[in-house]
Amino acid sequence: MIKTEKEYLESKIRLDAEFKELDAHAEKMKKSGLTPEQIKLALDPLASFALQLKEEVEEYEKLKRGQFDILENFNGIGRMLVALRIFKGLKQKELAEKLDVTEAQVSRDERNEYHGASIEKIQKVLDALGVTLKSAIETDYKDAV
Amino acid sequence: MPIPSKFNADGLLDPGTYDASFTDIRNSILVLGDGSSSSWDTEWRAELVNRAEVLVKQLWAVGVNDVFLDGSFVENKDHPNDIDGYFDPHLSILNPADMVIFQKIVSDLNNLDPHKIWNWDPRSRKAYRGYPKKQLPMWLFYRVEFFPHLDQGTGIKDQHGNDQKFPAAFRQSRSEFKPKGIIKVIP
Repeated sequence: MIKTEKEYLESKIRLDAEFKELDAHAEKMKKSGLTPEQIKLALDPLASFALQLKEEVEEYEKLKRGQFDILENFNGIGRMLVALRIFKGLKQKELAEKLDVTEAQVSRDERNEYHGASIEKIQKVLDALGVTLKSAIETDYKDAV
Repeated sequence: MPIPSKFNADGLLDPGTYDASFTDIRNSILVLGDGSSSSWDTEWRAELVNRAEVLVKQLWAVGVNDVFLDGSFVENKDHPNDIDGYFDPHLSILNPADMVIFQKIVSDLNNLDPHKIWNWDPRSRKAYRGYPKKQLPMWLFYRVEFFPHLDQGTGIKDQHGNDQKFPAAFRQSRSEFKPKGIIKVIP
């Protein structure tokens, strides 16, 4: 997951280079006497590699626009907290100041996607971001006694 | 050289290629942690190693001996989403004879794997809950992503703007180009 503006800009440059590289390889391979099947097999890994980065770049752009996926239970809550900071346009350093912790601490928490964070810590981050999460509870009818 | 007993200040292994067996990996900081994180997920990291082992053994069985582990698994991330790596069959994509050999390797690998996951076709990728990028079959079945190094450039640049191949590209952190250590798995 791309988490900072710096990484986003680096990734965009990288993406452009990866697709150029892919095209250059395809050209070279056409001249080298390989069969179409061999060319595909050789280029597939690079194509998947580049497309995955493209999807990560697009995700970052979506988050900046505030397009979030629905959160189910607590799966992905950590990624959601990172996404909300991106949407709010706050740098890690600015969130750290609001939380009164070091920038290194926020950087590490985000790198870990808040793995192992307590409910209290998650609540503090939501408060610092000025965000409210609401739950829609769905229960199986047999549980709803 | 043995896997270091601590991650460095950047949360990476010091630069280098560390030869390690699966036993070495299981007994190293990559699974046990270096004690600096209270939420280190040893159980999950051990599970990732079990899954990677299945695929690495398939590679060894078809004669591909140079297999490397990289990505966030070799960094101090509590709960990496997956285990990344690359393998080097010492072939070039521009040599038709080499590509015949590579086709055979992939076919042999798929004969060994019950799910036939040795495939990098972008169209074989599927979305997985909560992840922005679509994942390859090997990720969906094993949480492992291995790329073949076929002497091809990747488009990833070093800090000087030079194009890198997988072996170089995977030896630096994703942002800031910090050099990092990776693992070569040995029997």
